[in-house]
Amino acid sequence: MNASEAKQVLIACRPGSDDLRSAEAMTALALVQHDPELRRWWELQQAFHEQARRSFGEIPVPAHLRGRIHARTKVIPLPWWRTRVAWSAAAALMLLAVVWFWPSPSAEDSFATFRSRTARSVLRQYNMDITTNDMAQIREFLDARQAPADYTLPPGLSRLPALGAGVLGWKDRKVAMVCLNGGVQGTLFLFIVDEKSLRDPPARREFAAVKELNTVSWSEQGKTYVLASSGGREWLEQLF
Amino acid sequence: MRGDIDLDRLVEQHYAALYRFALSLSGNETDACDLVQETFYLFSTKGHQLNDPSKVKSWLFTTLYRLFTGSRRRLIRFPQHELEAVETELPEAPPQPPQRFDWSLVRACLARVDEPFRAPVALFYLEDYTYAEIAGILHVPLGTVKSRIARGVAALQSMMLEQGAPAVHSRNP
Repeated sequence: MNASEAKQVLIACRPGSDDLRSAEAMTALALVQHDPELRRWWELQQAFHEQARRSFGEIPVPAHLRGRIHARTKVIPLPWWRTRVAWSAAAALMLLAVVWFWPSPSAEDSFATFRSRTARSVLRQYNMDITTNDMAQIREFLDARQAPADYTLPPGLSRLPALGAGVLGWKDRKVAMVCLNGGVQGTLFLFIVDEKSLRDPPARREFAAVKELNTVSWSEQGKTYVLASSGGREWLEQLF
Repeated sequence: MRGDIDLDRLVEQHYAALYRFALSLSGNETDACDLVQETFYLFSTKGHQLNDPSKVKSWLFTTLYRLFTGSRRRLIRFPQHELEAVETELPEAPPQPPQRFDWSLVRACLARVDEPFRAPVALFYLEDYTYAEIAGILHVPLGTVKSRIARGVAALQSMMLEQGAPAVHSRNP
């Protein structure tokens, strides 16, 4: 092995690592001991590796990424056989959810409570009841379960591909949950409920943060909408 | 297997390293976020197929890499460069490390390194992966990993010298 060959071996060896334990690396290192120029090159090379390794480890990570990951992974479509097996249990759970989710008729029927609970439900582990990109299929599914299906999407939302949907309960009404693919902004969750089921539905568009999610709410043609996303408010505004 | 793994904890442990790997590959923050997000989503839906919990980390890196290469829809296979081919491309001397490299310089130079060499170089510096582990993640032979690291590092150094990083040419005392 000559100096040039030794360089080609050592350039791929991190100092202090097992990279240097191979036979060819040890041969190259032996050569380093007897060649001052090669030794100097190896010293610089090690310094380069150390600095490069440190530099890669210091790449800043966006603060919003963790929230986006969590928002995306909370939506886990079930395989059909699990859905079928769980169907009867889901009915019982639905009843339980109605009792637990909205226990008190007084302060519990405010819009703020509705918004908070729907948005927070996104942050818990849950499943979509149907996964499809076909909005017509989603409407059909929601309609079959007596959930709001004749909703109107703002222009920005109607352009986003659908992911699926689910049905929740709010007092004695059904709440439709439509999931949309927001691309880099992650999944969007649109909750739709009959406006009459709320004591104080939003008269105009309202923006509010619920934990790490941003929400925008509005009422239109007898329905109240809550849109929750890990995207920022500016992005939500662009959807209208 | 997913029942044995706390997904939140898994995200906590690996999302930063995966993002750095993704950014090294794509050179773009938005694409890197997408890749990481999709990787964990795939784990949440398919991770139960893993039989060995100790391989979760490698699975995440492999999946992210596949997502990246898949997104590029490359139709040509990367040619394999053997070690001998590196010789003529080695810079005479590596860039002289200053007090510390600026990541933006490394990033700009890495983006100019040919794509097949970016992933092994990033894994080489980002994680304490062995050659064999890098070969497993990238699904290439061990010899190819070594040659791609050597070639990639050499290319990175050449780019950095071009960008003005000072070189120290060794001289006999």
